[in-house]
Amino acid sequence: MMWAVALGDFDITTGGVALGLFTGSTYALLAAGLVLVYRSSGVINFAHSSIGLLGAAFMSLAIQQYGIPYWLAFAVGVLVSAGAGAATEVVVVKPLSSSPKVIPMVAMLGLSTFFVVLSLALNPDGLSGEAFPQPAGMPTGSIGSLLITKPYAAQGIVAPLLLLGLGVFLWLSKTGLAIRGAAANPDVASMSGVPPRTMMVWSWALAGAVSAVAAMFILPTVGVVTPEALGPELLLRGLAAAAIARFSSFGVAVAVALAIGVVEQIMTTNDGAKGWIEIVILAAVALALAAERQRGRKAAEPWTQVGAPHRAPLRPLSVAIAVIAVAAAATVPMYANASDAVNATLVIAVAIVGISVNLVTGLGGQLTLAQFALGGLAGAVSIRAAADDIPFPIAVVCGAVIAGAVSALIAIPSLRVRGPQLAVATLSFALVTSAYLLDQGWLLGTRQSPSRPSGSIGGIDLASGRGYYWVALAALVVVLLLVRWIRRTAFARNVVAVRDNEDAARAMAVSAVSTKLQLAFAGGLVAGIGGAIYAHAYTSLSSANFPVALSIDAVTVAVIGGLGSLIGPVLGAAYLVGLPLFLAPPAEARAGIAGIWLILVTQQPRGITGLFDAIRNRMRPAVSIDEAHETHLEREPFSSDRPSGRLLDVETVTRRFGSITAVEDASLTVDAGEIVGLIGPNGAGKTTLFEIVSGFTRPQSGRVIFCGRDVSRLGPTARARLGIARSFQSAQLFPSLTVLETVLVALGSSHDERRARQLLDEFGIAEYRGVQVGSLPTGLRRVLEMTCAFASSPTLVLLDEPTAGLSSTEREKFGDSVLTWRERTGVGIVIIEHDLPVLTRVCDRLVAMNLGRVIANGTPAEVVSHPDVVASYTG
Amino acid sequence: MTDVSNSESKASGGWYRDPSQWCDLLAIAGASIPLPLVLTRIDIIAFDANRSIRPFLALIALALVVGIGVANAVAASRSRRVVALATGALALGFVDIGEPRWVTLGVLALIASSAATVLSHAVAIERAQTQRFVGSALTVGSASVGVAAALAYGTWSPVVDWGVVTAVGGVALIVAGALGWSQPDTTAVTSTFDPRLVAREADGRPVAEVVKRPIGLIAFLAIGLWPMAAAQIRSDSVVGPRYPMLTLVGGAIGALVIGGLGHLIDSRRSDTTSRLVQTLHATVAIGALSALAGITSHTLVGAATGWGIAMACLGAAFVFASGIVSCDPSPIGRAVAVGRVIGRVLLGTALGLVASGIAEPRHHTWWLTIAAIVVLHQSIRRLRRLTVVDLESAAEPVVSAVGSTRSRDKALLDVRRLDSGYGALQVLFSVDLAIAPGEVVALLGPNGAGKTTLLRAIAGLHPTWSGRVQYGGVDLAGLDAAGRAGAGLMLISPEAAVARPLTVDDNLRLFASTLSLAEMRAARERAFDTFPKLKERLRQTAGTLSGGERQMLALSRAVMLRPRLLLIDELTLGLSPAAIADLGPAIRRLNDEGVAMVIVEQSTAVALSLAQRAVCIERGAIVADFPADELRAQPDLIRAIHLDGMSSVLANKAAS
Repeated sequence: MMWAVALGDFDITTGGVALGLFTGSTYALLAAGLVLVYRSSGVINFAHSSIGLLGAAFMSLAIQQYGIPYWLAFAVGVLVSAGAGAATEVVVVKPLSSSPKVIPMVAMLGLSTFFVVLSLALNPDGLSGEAFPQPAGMPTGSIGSLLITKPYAAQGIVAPLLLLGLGVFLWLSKTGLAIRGAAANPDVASMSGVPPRTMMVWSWALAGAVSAVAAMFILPTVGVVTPEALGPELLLRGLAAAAIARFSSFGVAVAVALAIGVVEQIMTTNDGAKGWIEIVILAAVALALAAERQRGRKAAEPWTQVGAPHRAPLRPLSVAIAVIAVAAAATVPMYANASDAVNATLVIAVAIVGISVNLVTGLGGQLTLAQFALGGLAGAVSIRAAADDIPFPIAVVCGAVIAGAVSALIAIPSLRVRGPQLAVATLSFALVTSAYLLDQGWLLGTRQSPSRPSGSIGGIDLASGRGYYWVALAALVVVLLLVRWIRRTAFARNVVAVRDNEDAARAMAVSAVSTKLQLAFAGGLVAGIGGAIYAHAYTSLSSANFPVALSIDAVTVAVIGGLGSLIGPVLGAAYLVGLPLFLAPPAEARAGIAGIWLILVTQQPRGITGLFDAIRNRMRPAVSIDEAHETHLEREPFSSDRPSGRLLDVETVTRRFGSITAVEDASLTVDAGEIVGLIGPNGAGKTTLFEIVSGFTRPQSGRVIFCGRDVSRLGPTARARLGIARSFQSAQLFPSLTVLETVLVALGSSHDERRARQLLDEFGIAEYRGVQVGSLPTGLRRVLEMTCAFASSPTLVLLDEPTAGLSSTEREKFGDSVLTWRERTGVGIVIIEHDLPVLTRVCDRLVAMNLGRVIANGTPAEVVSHPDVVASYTG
Repeated sequence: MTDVSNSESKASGGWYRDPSQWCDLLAIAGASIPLPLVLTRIDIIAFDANRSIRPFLALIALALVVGIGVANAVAASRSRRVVALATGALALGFVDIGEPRWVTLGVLALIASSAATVLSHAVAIERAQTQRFVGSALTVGSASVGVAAALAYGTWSPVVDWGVVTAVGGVALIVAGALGWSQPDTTAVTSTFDPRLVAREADGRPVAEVVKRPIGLIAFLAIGLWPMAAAQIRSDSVVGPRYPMLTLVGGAIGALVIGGLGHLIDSRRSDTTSRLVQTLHATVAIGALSALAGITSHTLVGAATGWGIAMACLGAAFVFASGIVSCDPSPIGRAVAVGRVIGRVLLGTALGLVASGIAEPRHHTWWLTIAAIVVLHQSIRRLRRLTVVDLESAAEPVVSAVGSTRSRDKALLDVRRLDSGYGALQVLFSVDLAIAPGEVVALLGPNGAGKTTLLRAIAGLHPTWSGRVQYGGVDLAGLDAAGRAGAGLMLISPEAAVARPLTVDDNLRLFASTLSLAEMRAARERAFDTFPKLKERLRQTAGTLSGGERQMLALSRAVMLRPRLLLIDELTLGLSPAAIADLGPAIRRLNDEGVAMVIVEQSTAVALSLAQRAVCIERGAIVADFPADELRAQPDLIRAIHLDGMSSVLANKAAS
């Protein structure tokens, strides 16, 4: 039965829907591969479609050069891609498994470029739609007015069969089960005799094979083949489906992929809808992100080895080097020809965008793939403004501010979820920008001719290609100084604190939401400056000058140079952008350039600057403890309003996680100046009770009253501002901040460095103030946690296992300092602790819990000899 | 480890007074500087040469890259390796393009790589001895040498007098290599490369000698590769079969002589094993590379012979090497290690063959270089992990804290001097533990004492720093967790309990992965027999089970697979007494079937009701060892485990 619906200007026909389902099932293959890989390694495989492309290139080569039959060559291509997938896991993903997840994902981006270039070098002519071999033995026909060609028939017949086969393999076969088991819990798989590593390689191989099939069926249907079409655009369809399925459910991913196929087909059969499919995908991804609920605790990522911003004080030597470098760079227009000067300008522009990536990704820990798209927006705005006779610098700033605002806007969906989803959202934004947004009449339209600043230096006109280089260089210097300044402010400290350990930051009254938004704005601003500089460097400009690949390059530039380093992106841009621009290498050399930086990044996740640092660290002692130990600072009296009366009243709270009841009808009171110890065996619910009091978990019933006020509905940041300070069992704090900076974060808005030093001095850790927390031994970290807990002059302090991992003398000292602080400030303190000797010495009262319930409450002597308590320990 | 004290005493003088340091430096310089030049030359030849022999020339180039890679990867720190490998690849690729400026760039990159290698070595020596000034001078000096060489080469381009280079370079290499090889390893330098050692030093604990720097290997490589390279150069643009065959024979003989000599000398030293391994590796590398050269003969017979020798050489030597590493009389450990290594070698070779066959001759070098570097780097990593085994020979009886001496002869599990931890934090301190077959041991101690870490380390889920774990007389160092589980050593812990997203049925099938279909059916029946409740829950996701049911499912893994030794960590955590009562009989039944166990339990009473022996651990060290009955009779001691501290109570008892 034929039907057609007219929806406004849109025609929806059976043929269109059928065709959409066909392509959709191919996207579903891509999506299934992405989900498979994500489930096994926690990495979004941005090289997914390019791995498939490599196999397709081989297939095409085999058929066209060696005359191998189609389906045999098909098998060869699938095997090649499977091998490439497995190799990717072994070579890139595994070595990076202990780095933050951003690094392997960026490596995947680079790998994607590598594979695309390699495929094109291998088979330069055989990849376009016309030349690519058509599937043999497929029927042709028509649905309504639409002709179903062989590739579409293959998409409609083979792709669903393969999906089915994949499902059967994963759910019914032994190997499939082993793959799923290893992904679900590697330890259990190991203990069942299944090596999880091998299974991980298997799933990458499987994903590679599946993506090869997708590429082989899609390639004959596309016209011109560009790295763009093969890389991000194709990937986005699968990626969006996988992201909406939260990278966990195969079923949802397949369904969404089918839907995307249908929508896309309907869009393309209707004219005037260019770029709309990207917009639909962006909207869907954003909605899915917004609908996601935060589940469980966020595990802190090991950021220390990558993002650690290096904040060496300015030394005369480094100032001199910087000045000489800038001066040397400034001489370029004197001897360079115009085209070289323009190339150098472009390198600078990319470097500036790379610096913005370093803010968002390096400092903030969020992978963003839209920085150059933001730059494109800024460029368009700036060109428009400059055309209206607004002075050049102001035009650039206008563009940058708008880019910053848009950047903050697209960061909103990612505020609640931490993970790879922001990458997907920004990637779709980047595609929307280059495919739709920039083409609009009010931005770039079809083509623009940017103006440049007027004036001249030394006889070289600033509007010329050579003169404009100076403008770009000046912008770079300004941006470097700006970012350098940002990295020294309290804001940067908070950003790193939120990145390193969001929970601890919130417990110290740092608002994660506003920090992230401000960072996104700053990132967009810097990217905007870079984009505007880039845009004005061209004499004629269209949206084609802002391909998505550039946004990806910007991330790569930051990673090659060194995430978290100030100067890194400049080096990275010189390598990644400068080398090809100046040397114009042949295709295979470009593959080599990509291959080399991949090796670099797998070996030294901190990139080029990481290499330099490694050499420098060899020459200097690794830990630089401040040698100038200052004399004791005077003790400032604490604010006179000592708390009094009942501080905390937890009324019969209950918290269940699924079928497990962590806390049941528990009550707890704390008076001012009282020290309460909370004891009980593992799993008794002590920490959950802390979470309830500090606001990280909402109880299902019961109330939390703090200083006479019901705070049950407040979040942790708000409760921290009211005066509830807490420490965490893990004592992780913020591994990449220094001791002094950590205390400054805890001090909150006052940012009084003198006060921070005084506190450190009082807790006896003043000499470590310059040391990174990540390299502190456990004992000192516990002391630092205490310092932070008391820094904000709280009313109530919750300490979770403060003496775990301490030596006996350190435990003694801990007891002393708790007692001293209670004397001086009159705060109420609750301590979870297993070390009973310490507790009995310090506490006025002990509360014992078991199986979520409070089983005893009284003086230490009473509680310790309480029969229920003894029984709860000895069973 | 006498070497440590030796090098410390050396450290008091300047490093430059120690000839071995100079030799090391010279050897590395010798190995790294001329090789890249040779490489360049070969590739230029490849570019000019006949189409049909290009793939073979590429293979030689590959072999050379492998050689450089081996030298750098085995000997050096991470950053040095990166520099060397990356620039090596870059250079080779650029040279392949064949245009003068790219060739120059490639050569510059290679020289930079060499300079970086020398430089970082110099810096490493300098840092170890804290002679900052000398180090800086060295750094500047070698950097300027590098730059000067690069400039010279760039000016003269590829037409240099190769005869002179050959003569001078060859002599320098052989002298430096021989000197370097004859010197003992210097532990002080080694330790600066190993973060684990540095961490432990900061902890105030002695630095153990874990990693050896196989300086001899580099020297061997230098010596072995030189004649081959010389042969290639002299043959200029036409590569005949004669020179490579000469090289093959010469290299093989040289390798044999050097290897044999090294073995003779080494066998007289106390610390033989690691040096033996090095010698072997070197022999393997030279033999294999020489054999690879053999395949340049473009007759079919020559190629076949070449490949045959290469494969045999690699395979046999790896077998030998891993046999030494596993260092066990028992065949299982060796077989496992050997099988794995052979498999990897064959795979790498096959990959190389396929790649070279398929690739366009013009573009092959990029591929092969990158593939070679990658395969090589990975296998080196594996190899290094295998060789980092603490091989102490002392077998003194272990005295437990209460003074009883236990025989270790019949132990099923024998843990000796095990150290482990997380990052810079050491958790386990020289733990000794022996479990007899069929014995149930309760491991008791307060939270954070290291119980979980110990169990995970035994099961292979957590890396050990030093010490060894023997199981059934086999050293487990080369065996991963899955292999250990397959051999009947299994852990059930809160992390390694069930796969929550999977259904109960899938979990049971996963547990039975290693079984045949018939065995699996029987195993499932056993599980249902023990825990009938599971049968009703087959379709349910494991994550939605109640705590008790989940632990039943976890325990059914042991019921199904019947391990020889079962490690149980906190099986009853957070469970109600009724649920605990369901699990107890199953554990007892397992023990009746002969399964030995180590049980960690929050509840001392539960643990002691199951165990025959109780071992107490405190702050990462074993402090006491009692028969379970004896401990049950002393409630004050039981209380001490969690509340007062066992060691202090024991000390009090001893005093009174």
